[in-house]
Amino acid sequence: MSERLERVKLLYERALHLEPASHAEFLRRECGDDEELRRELEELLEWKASGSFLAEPIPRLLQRDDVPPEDTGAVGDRIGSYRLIERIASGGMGTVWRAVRADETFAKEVAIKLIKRGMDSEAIVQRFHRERRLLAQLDHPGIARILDGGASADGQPYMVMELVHGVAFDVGAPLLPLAARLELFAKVCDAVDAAHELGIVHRDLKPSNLLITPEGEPKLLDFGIAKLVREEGREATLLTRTAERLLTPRYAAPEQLRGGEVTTATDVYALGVLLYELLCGQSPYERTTTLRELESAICDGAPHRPSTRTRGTTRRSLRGDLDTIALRAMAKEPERRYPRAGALAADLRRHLRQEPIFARGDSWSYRATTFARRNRWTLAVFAAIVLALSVGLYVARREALFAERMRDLAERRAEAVEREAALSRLGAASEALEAQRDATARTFLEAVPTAHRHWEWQHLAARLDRSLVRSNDLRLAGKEKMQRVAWLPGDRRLAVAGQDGHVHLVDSATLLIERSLPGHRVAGYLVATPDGQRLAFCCGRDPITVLDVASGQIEVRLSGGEDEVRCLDVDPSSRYLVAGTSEGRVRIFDLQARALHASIELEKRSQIRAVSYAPSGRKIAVTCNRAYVHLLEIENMRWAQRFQHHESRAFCVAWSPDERLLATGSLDHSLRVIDATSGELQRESVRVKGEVWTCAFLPSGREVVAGGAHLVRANLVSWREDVAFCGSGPMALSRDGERLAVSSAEGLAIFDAHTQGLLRAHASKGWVRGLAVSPDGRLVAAIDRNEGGIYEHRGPTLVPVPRASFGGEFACFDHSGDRLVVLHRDGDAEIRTVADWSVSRRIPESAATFGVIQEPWLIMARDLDRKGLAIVDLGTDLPPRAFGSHEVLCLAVSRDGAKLASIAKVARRVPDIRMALQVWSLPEGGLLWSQELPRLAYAVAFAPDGTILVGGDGGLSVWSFGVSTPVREIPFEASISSFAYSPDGTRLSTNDSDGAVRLWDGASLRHLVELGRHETGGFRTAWSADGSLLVSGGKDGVCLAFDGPASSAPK
Amino acid sequence: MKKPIDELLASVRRGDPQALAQWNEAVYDELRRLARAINVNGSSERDSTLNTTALVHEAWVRLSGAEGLSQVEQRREFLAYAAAVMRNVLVDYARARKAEKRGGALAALPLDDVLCVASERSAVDVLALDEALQALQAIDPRSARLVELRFFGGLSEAEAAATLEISLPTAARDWSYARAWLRRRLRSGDTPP
Repeated sequence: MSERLERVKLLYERALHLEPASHAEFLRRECGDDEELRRELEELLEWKASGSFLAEPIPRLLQRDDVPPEDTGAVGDRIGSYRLIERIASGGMGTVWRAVRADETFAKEVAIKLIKRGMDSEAIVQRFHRERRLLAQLDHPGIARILDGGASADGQPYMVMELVHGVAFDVGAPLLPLAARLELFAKVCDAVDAAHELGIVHRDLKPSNLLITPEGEPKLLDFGIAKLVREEGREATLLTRTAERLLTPRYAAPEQLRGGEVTTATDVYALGVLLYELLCGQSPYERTTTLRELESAICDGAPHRPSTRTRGTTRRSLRGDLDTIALRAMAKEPERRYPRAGALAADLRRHLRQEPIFARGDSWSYRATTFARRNRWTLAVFAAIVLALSVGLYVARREALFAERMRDLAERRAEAVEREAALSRLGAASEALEAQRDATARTFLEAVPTAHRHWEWQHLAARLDRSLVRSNDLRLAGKEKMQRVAWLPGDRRLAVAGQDGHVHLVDSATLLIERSLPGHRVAGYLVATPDGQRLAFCCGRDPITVLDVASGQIEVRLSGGEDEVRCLDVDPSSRYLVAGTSEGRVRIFDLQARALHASIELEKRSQIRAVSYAPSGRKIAVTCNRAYVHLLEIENMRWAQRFQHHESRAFCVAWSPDERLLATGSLDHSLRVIDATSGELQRESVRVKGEVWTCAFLPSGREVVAGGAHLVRANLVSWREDVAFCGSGPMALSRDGERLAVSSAEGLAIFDAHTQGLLRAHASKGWVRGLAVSPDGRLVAAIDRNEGGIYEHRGPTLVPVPRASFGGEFACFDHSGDRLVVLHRDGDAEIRTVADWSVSRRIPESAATFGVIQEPWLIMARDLDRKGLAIVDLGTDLPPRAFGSHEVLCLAVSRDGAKLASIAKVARRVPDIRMALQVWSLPEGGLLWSQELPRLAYAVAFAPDGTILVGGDGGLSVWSFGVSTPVREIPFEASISSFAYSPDGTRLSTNDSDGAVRLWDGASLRHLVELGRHETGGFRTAWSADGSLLVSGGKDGVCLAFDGPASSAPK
Repeated sequence: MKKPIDELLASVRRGDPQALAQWNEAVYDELRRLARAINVNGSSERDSTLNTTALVHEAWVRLSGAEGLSQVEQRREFLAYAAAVMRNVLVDYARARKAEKRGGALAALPLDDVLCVASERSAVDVLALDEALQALQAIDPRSARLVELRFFGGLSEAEAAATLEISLPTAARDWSYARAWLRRRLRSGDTPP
């Protein structure tokens, strides 16, 4: 940087601090002879930035929500003499509303287009007034009429138009046979021609401006609007490169892109493109990828004839006339096109009547010569009369059918659009929730219409509903972030230190202050004795204050000596109070004797961070500002043990109810569980987003809650953070373990500690290989090769069923739920009776890895040297019948029970494995179809519509029986290990290699939500037959269970 | 979002121009994806509780708070790139809108609404500002960069100073100088300084 520039800046800055009056003097003094410098500074000072210039950065502007979305209007707004009822659409030009006249009792509905602001409002209104008479003349059944227009009270331009119900042209028209399609299109041309007759050009013809009414008639929207909205005269050249991402001029004529004159031939061009797409279903310039390419294709490229882009009979019927007509309409030079839309319509009709068309060779206007070639007039007349009668009938019927179809389609489309919007929001909410952006998730969830609030919605809403009560009035005292709250016995009231430093007794249901105990200063720990009679708190070096809760009076002050008291706890008998100090001393006070009972030093200057009485009252766990946890034996007052697992100082420690485990939380952002006797680390650590200041076991001893920078609940079985509450700060768990009180700078909040999430888990030692749910959703079989067993789904947990423990490779319940089939890879297949879990039948040496039941058959996939399939009649004792010869990975039976699908390894040449989808007849076991798959696959199922769904590497693919290419492919980054349809087929759950349990929409195969996650990959997923329970087993040995859609009741 | 952003950043840092382009794409995609999620064209939105700005904010937060960018330095670097991208997005958008006003059969995508809000709220002609910034860049690159970071990127004075590795007083001086300079340039038309 030049010295001169630095000098300018310095002088400018100095001048800014001076009175403007003294600027001249200052400049004279500083600049001397340097005229240029003086002038520059003068100018800078003249333009010295006002307060607002660049003051608010763009990102903050984006965050500001105070400006209402002004352009779009709101339900009930009055625009001119109309009232807005419902928003229909929004697009580039503005928002379209359904509206009624506000001043009339009979409600004739209209469409109102609110033109986006910033589009030169005044000019638009002026142009409208100039052209309104012309537009009023535009009265054609194929054109939506413009009824009125003007500017609203606050200057926003609007147009009032006829309200049209219908389906978009490009959706409806392709459903018609070619001749009917052409006739419909000719009608579109008629309408455009009617406008051309008046000299009105549309300029923006595209499928979304063109509807098919329920009567099957075309209707053009927005005629004349484009011209009003855009400036008159020549069209501007597009700044293509920058517009690349924003704009799509698929129907724009070359002269529009080049900035040439817009005439009726411009509309003919757009009609040509529409016709082209109507004929062959593809855009003439489809192969272009960027806008620049598209534009150069429009301006310079020669589109292929439509017929060359189709096959078979369609190709033959397009070849010739229709190719010529479409390309003629799309000619680059306006003068080579049909001059008006009517001429295009006429040629199409000539083609339909099998008369020669005009558009031949290089000039369109001659070629009447072939007219004369028609002969056999007389005969033709007779034939035509006979035909006309029958064709007339046929046409009338077909048109009625078509109209019906359009109506139906319009309804279905509206439904689909709404559903699509709902699904999008659900997905967005799920993502936001994963990212812990609760506010966003809530907004998305609230935007889902009630009709679409199904199970997934409930699931997400339940996860979102993290707080029961919250009060912002009860803020923390001072800035001390370790401020505590304490539950009083009975779990109804809380003691909390308010912002004023007073101790308040707060009703936990309402968070209203019941009583205040004024005049105290609390800046640290606050504890209640288990009998609820006393409260003790500390404040730096002051003595510990003990309050009588009933009277609110100070009972005693207990001096901690010179040390600062850092933490407190009370023993289960309510008699002893323990205090940890900044100088490494632990003092125990006798609350009855109101005196120091015992004292012991840990290490000099090892500031003690937490003290915690064991449930038995015999030990105290102590943490200090090293990473150790120390155990103090009370009986002989000695340090018994010392454990270290954290990387940094431990802030808190808690005992499990059975005193066997200790949970510790630390500055190192982790929560750990150790054995209280051996000090052995029980669970590696749960990483928490931030420091952990407080922790506690839930009464079950199976879960730990931790508070600090982040509030979480961790499950001891799966040992992961399974619920993240929306809050942060030190927390206190009520004695019944039902609620969490959390104090933070934002206030006090009470959470439901228990019912959060729908997730439960159990562990096995290996992969959960066999996973099945009984039809009524009551029992879950989760086994690995050596062990595992049956769990009962009871309330919020899965409870192991006694004496039901056995291993296996695969498990499935029969349809009645009375029998469980257990397969062993290297041995027998067992049929167990659910009543007592005894083996009722053995099928020796089945060596099966997968099975499926289609009463009365059990079909097994076999392994080892007995590759292939076997079918067993469960009703008899006959030996299995074998069929097929390849190793099969998975099986599925079609809904009608007549087909069996399998995924088989058809060739295994290292390193190349080739897989095939095979379909068999049931019960014969005859191979109906074998289709080699492009990628590795691990899962197969019959979709409700009869197609076959295959999952594996690369995502999902949908196959139609006997068709050698997939009907659909849904690429997905994670490999899909297994999937299962919900019993009603509306949902699909998948188990993926990334460990996630995902839920998909059964029909559209659209990803809806992520339900939960396994530590390592997922392996199996299953639903109960009644849809009330969904389970997922993972390679981490965990079985996750979710309440299924059938069980959900709106909260 | 996590990994690719990390990798992209690394490549951008190595001066890979392609990476910068990809980075642009990522931001666009994110904006567009979110915009699409709320604005399914033609849907009847009776209760339009969502507004587009909230979404852009969301995208911004998501990108700038992307995991793996927790380290202060990396985050700052990210914000600096994001500022440049934001500038490009807005300038592109302003140009496209100008083009659209002048004509052409164009169909705008939902992203439109999003950027419309940003550029209209700023009460600054983004195109003119961009040109002025380019001029400032020629004589005082550091100040120009500072404006980009603070105005387009939303960095605080301290963050911007740290990114440019200059002291706070210098940053303050540059800022007030740049604002006056730009204002003069914008108000007085195209007169060269």
